[in-house]
Order: sequence, then C-alpha cells, then structure tokens
Amino acid sequence: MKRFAIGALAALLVISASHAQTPDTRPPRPGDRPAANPHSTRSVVYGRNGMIATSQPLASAAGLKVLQDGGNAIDAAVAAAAVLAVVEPTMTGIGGDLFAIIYDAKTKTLRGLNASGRSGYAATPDQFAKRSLTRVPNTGVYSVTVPGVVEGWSSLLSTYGTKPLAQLLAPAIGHAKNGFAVSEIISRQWQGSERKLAADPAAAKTFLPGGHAPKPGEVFANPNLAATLQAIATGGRDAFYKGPIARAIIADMKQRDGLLDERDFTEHKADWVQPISTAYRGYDVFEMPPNTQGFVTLEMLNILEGFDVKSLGHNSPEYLHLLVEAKRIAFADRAAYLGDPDSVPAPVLKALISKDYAESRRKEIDPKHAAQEYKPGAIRGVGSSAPEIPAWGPRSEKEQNFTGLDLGDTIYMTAADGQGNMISLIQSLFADFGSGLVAGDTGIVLHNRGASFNLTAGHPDQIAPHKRPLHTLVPAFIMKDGKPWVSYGVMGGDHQAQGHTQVVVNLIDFGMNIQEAGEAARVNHGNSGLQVESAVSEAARAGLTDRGHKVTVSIGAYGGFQGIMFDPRTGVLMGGSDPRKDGLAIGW
Amino acid sequence: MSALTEQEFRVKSDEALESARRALLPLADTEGFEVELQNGVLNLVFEEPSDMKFVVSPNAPVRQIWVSAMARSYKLSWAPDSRAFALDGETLPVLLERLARTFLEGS
Repeated sequence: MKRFAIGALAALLVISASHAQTPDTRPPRPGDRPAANPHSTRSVVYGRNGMIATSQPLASAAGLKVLQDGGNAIDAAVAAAAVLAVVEPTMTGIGGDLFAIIYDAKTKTLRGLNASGRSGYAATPDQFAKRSLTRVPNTGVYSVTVPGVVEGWSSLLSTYGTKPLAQLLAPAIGHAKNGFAVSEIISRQWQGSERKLAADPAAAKTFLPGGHAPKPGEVFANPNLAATLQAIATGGRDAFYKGPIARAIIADMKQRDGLLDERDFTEHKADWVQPISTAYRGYDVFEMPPNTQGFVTLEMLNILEGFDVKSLGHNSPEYLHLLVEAKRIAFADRAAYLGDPDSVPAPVLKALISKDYAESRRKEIDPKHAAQEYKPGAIRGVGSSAPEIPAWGPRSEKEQNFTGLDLGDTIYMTAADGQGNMISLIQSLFADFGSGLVAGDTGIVLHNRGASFNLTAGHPDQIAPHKRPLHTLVPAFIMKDGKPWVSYGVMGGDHQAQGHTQVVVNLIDFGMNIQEAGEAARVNHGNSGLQVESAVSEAARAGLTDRGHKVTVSIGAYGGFQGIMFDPRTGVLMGGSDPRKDGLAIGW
Repeated sequence: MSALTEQEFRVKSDEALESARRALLPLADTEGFEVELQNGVLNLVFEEPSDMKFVVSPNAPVRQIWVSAMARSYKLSWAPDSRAFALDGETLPVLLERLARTFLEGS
C-alpha cells in the first residue's frame, strides 16, 4: 500500500511541476463545468418516464418519440437501431449482426438475443485452401456471413414489442429516402473509407456521391436502402431472408464467387439465450455467452476483484497495469477457447468465468512488470479429464488481437421505459463499411464478420459450414440485489471487453455517475501496445512505461459508450452518452 | 394462424378494428376517452387519470393485430373457430375494454 501512496504523490508532483515551469502546450479544452464531477463534460440526463442513449441525435429522437407515443423500450430500441442503420452506414446496417440483452419488467427476467449470422453451408476449409487463402480475408466476398440484424429486430418485436416493424421503420426509411445531414465523427470515418468504397462499383455509386465521402453537415440519401427497408416494412423479416432481398444478395454474392446460397438465408434464425454473469463486489455483471467475447469482461473483473482497485486510484499506473495484464490473460483465453456456441463446451465456459480460475491466473501477474506473454489457461473439459491447454495451442499475442486490423465498427445503444423494461443493444458491420461490398441495387453494405474465423484445424473458431464466428460484439447489463441497475455497452471491436471492464470499475470501485463512468479517460491494449488518452496523467504513463508497457497517447481507440442507470428506490432513470461519439442520451 | 392470405388478413383486420371501435364507443362516452380510427390504426387516447395512448395496429407480415398499451404488447392471431382475432381466448374488443378499465381504475 505504501508503494502506491508514494506513486500517487509522485503523480501530483509531476503535474504541479509541469504547470509551474513549462507553458501549457496542450490543445485547447472546452470550458470548465461548475460541477463536482471532473470526469465529464456534460451532465447526467434524468427522466422518470423513459430514456434512450445512442450515438446519433436522430436515432435518440426516433426512439424518444416511440416512447412518448406509448411504445416500450424494445419498440424504441428497434426504431433507433433502424435509424442508426441508415445514418451510421460506416458502422452498422441491415447487412450486419445484432445482439441484445433485455430486462423484462413483467417477468423480472433478463434474456439475451443472439442475432448473429452464420457462414454459408459451402464455407468448408477446403474452399479456402482451393483459393490459396491462408487466412479468411478481412474484406471482400469471403468475409461475408449471413446478416442477422433484420431477424434480430423481428425477434425482439415478436417477443417483447408492442408496435409492428412497419411503424418503427418509418423514421429510418424517411432518412434514407429524403436524406440526412452526416454527423462529424461518421463523416471523418467515411472519409477514411473512400479508397475501400471506390474499389467496389456498387459501393462507390451508393456511398461516394460526386466521388467523395460526405463532409459534416452534408446531406446524404440512400434511396435504394429506403426501398429495401420499405420492402421489409411491408413483407417483414421474410422479405429479407426468403424474398427479393435475399435473392438480390445471393445473386450478387454468386457473381463474386461468394459462399452464400439460398438455404443459408432461409434457414437463418436468431436464438434466445441466457446471459452469463459474475458477481463483482456485490453486483452481478451480465454479458452474452459465446460466440461473443462477453466472458472476457467477466474474467477480467474476476481477476481484478482480488486487488484493492479503489485504493490504487482511478487511472493510477498500478491500477492500469493490473487492468492491462488481466486483459492480456483473458485475450489469450479468448484466442484459444472462443468460437461458435456449439464449439465451446459448457464446462470450459463455466471454468473461464469462475472465481477459482481467476484466482489461479491472478497469481501470474507481477505488479511491477508486464509479462512477456500470457498463455491460455489449462482447463478441465478441453480434452481428457485433466486440465489442459487445447491441442491447437496458444497463439502469439499479435494473433490474439483484432485491433491492429481496425475492426470495430459498431453502434451500441440502450433504452428504458417507465414500466421498468430495459434493453442493451449492439449492432455492427465489423470493419468500416464491412466487407466493402454493396449488394446490387439493395443499398445494403454486407458485413465482414467471417473475417474473425480462422483456418486452424480443430480450433473452436475454425471456419466451417453453417457456423457462427467469434464475435467482438457484446451488450452488457448490471443487476444489484436482483433488480436492474445499469444497461450499458462500449462499442469498439477488441476495445469492448476492455471498455466494459473500465466502465464497471468506474461505476463500482470509483463511484462515478453514469456519464462520468463512460466519459472518463480510457486505455486500450492491442497490437500497437498500450494506447492511452491524453487525460491519463504523465506520471501514470511513466509508471506504465517503467513496468514494460509500450505506451502511446492517441485518439479514437476507445470505442463509444452509452448507458442508462435505474434507481429502484425512486424509479429515476439516468442516461449517459459518450462524447467520443456524435450522440446523446435523452429522456423525460 | 398463418392460414390467412395477406389479402384476407387485411380485410379481416380492417373489420376487426372497425368493430372494436364501435364496441368501445359507449365506454369512451361515459369515461371520457377518445377512440380514433385513422389510416388503418386504432388509437385509444386518454387524458385521465393521466396521458396515455393505446395503439392497435394490424401487422400484416405476421398476420396478427398488435395492441400497444402501458408498455406491454398483446398479439392477437386469427382464431378460425371463433372467427375473430384473439389472445388466450380474449377477442379484440374484450381485451381493449379490459385494458381500458384497468387503466381507468389506476391499477
């Protein structure tokens, strides 16, 4: 403990020294808030009748209207998610996947929806060998799996919704048809994708009007997508999976030598699942089971629970070091054990999120030194009766991360209604504009989620027919004493599990409010080392460098948070939204 | 329930909404709420005991009539035996009257 106290003192000295002696060369900052919460630039949004937090004001507005018209949280979420599928085409669309966690106030239960698509029946390892592919490509036709978003919306509504899809799609159709003003962050990302879009004539025609990406405030329309969404409004999910839209996508795929066929679409369905959880300091943190990386957050929290994180201090080098080492351990496990739900044996999953397992792995962490590398843990249930490391063996740390590949283009959003229903929802194309392919004249960008399959024989995530790939996507939820507390998520590929962990620790250990918890400076570990935001102190960076981390200050690697907190005592809903995004929380 | 064609569903759901509207009018008159049928959607609009709207919409792709009331959903399918849209034996007018009374009584 004494060591940490000295560290904190040193941090103070460095900060005060830099203020006293050197001119402030930091970039300009926003004005100072007359509030006592130093980690946020805006206030928590309060409401009693409903709340929605998304990365786009247009989506939050659509959801709010549904709530005010008597719809429930699930209706509002679908309306907003559909708007996001239009106004954030870089991040999400109906050519992508969806996951959600729903708290149903009537039955007082939490349920998860896995609406991720599968590989084609034709996607055997042979097909990749035949094409001399040594890995599943990051973009292009071989990275495309069946899109799950539309089935996701339909499943949410048929189980919990009160309003037909046709009504809820209306705002999204309007924006696609009449055009919307492109937001700042999306425009920036869009501009970075110009080359990718230009490579596919249909993508260029749809998304590079006048040959360039729209600038902030420029009006963009996608009439083809409006027509496709209208067909879904009229014909329901079957229009997408069994009707003209499926036929258009399949025809396009075939023309490009793709591996998806009619049967892949007609057989597609979403699955209701039980979220997985761990208890963290008296709270129950819920994530989704495989094929998502949800267990990674739970494993990281279990490892961190053995340390007195609170006394180490927020974003202290001691805490951040433990966080990063826990991430590296959990990612070694992710790379070894995660894949399609059917490829992850129940005992393995149970072990990975158990307190005993975390305790054994915690001992591998040296508080003063970053490890050279971590291997996956030996687990009972992998092979014979004894705990063992899987036969396909550990992969190098570089192979454990997606971050270097810039895969993490996603929206996260959450909604709550006055009756106590809450939904935590995530939807994604994986990379910027997914596979980079637009299917014919549907206006749909096809995602590249198949890129997270591997070609390692026997691995749970090895490419195979009709299989779900390892998924970075994961919505989250926290319960306290059996009651809903926080519905939240952090989009951003590999950052998701790391961001979730940091948000949970911010809320529980550091007592931050819902806005601060999502806004406070974050760190991200990946193939380029440890990225930190500028608000992580110089002393903390030095302390991390001393421990052997390759620290860089950078922007844009920390995903995007949205969250809603519920106070069961007063019934008050509190919304928070990440300024790293364009959006907002709004309620009434 | 999927026995209805889309065309049959549209005809039957229009009839069901119209007959539900007529059935609710006496209660609406005595209790002071509005019943409006517009663009194929039936709305029950309350100002007392608080602002509230029940929305009844045909959902053609799934051949159901959906009722949105107090953040809950009620999905009525065509019951060939009773020749009506129903959920757990309750037909549309019966369900709507029950929900309206529940709301008006504030329970």
